This record gives sequence, structure tokens and C-alpha cells, in this order.
Amino acid sequence: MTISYKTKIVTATPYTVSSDDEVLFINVSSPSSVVLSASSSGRSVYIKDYSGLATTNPITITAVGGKTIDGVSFAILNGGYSHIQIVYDGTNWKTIS
Amino acid sequence: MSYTNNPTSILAGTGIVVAPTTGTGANTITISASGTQILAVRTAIATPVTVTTGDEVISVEVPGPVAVAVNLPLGVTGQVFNIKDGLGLASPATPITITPAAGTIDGAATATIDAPYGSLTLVFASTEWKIL
Repeated sequence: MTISYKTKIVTATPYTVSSDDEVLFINVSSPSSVVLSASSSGRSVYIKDYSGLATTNPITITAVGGKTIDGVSFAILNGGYSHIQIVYDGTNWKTIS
Repeated sequence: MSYTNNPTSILAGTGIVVAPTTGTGANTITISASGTQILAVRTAIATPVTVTTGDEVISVEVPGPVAVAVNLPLGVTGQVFNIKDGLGLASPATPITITPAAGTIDGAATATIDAPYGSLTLVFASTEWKIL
């Protein structure tokens, strides 16, 4: 058995994370936004700048329902090829890589 | 519809629940999984290291310090490899250089681990490898 993730290349903004998304590659030539939908505890998702465009076109991540990400209302990817992995702890979202 | 179950070939075990396993009448077999993921870890002790499609985690433990080459196979979308400096010998002078069989890694021809005990997680997407 090998490790395999369900990957998706996102080309339009805003994008709302689906319940079965695992790795999202954001490939949008403008500032973009990703919205974390309601989830159950332990749910995690990777969000990655696909083409190194985030330096000039940052990716803003927010969550529905007033949930926070590391205690604040949003997270931003603004480095070329940067990524984060976010997990839901049952109350809010936490970045773990 | 009604039928009699045959003995299931999917056996309950750790993290797997199969119900019902026997009985009659309209029914549903539900399979649920839980537990933790167990990764296969391969220790590589010579350079170059050829990653195969069956690999998951490759711990690079080539005696040295010495520069190490790691060669990735052709990618399949979603496939993941973890490359790890298992001995803590990676440095700018003796890096672990990862080269794909085709495509790029985050837009570059290679990726490098040059810090002791550093690691990279690579996932293949469409035509390229990406670092997670």
C-alpha cells in the first residue's frame, strides 16, 4: 500500500472546501480565498500554492461559523509555493504544518 | 428483497466493523474504519537512493557525511513520499538532493534537504511534484 491523497487543483475563487478534500492546490492568477466548511473533529486539509503565485496573489483562508484559525479569523499564504495543513479540533481550526 | 448472507469475506478487525455478518432479510453491510495510519518506513543506506512506487517513508541513512541523491519514480496523482534525513548528516555541503523522473518539484528541477534531520513530504499533482 502506498500513501495517496485526494488532490484537487483549484482555479477559481472563492473556493469552499468540500468534505472529501485532502490536498488543495490553489492555482488562481488573482488574490484568492478558501473557505473552510463545517467539519468534525480531526478533519484536516492541506492548502498549497500550486504555481508560486501567492507572493503577488495571496491566498486567504477563513472558516465558516465564526471559527478561528490559530485563534484569529483568517490565515494567509503569501509565499511562493507555501502551504499549510489545518486540522479541526472540534471547536476551531489549528495549523499543524 | 430478501436474501441470506454468505459468510463475509471482509473480516472485522482493528478499526474495521462489519455488520451484520450473518442473517436474513433486507440488510446493509456497513464498514467503518478507525484507528491510526501505519506507514512503511524503508531505510536507505547507499546513494543513489531509488524510490519505488511501493515506498512511503524513506529514511536516508547513508554513512558520511556525504551528498546523497534520491531519485523519484514517475508520479501518480495523489501519491505521497516522505524523504527524511535519518542520521542528521544533511548540510549545505552534504545535502540530500531529490530529483524526479519527470516534471518538477515546486517548479524546480530538484529539491534539497540540507538541514540535520530535515524532511520533505512530496505529493504528485497532475504533472508535477509539490512539497507539503
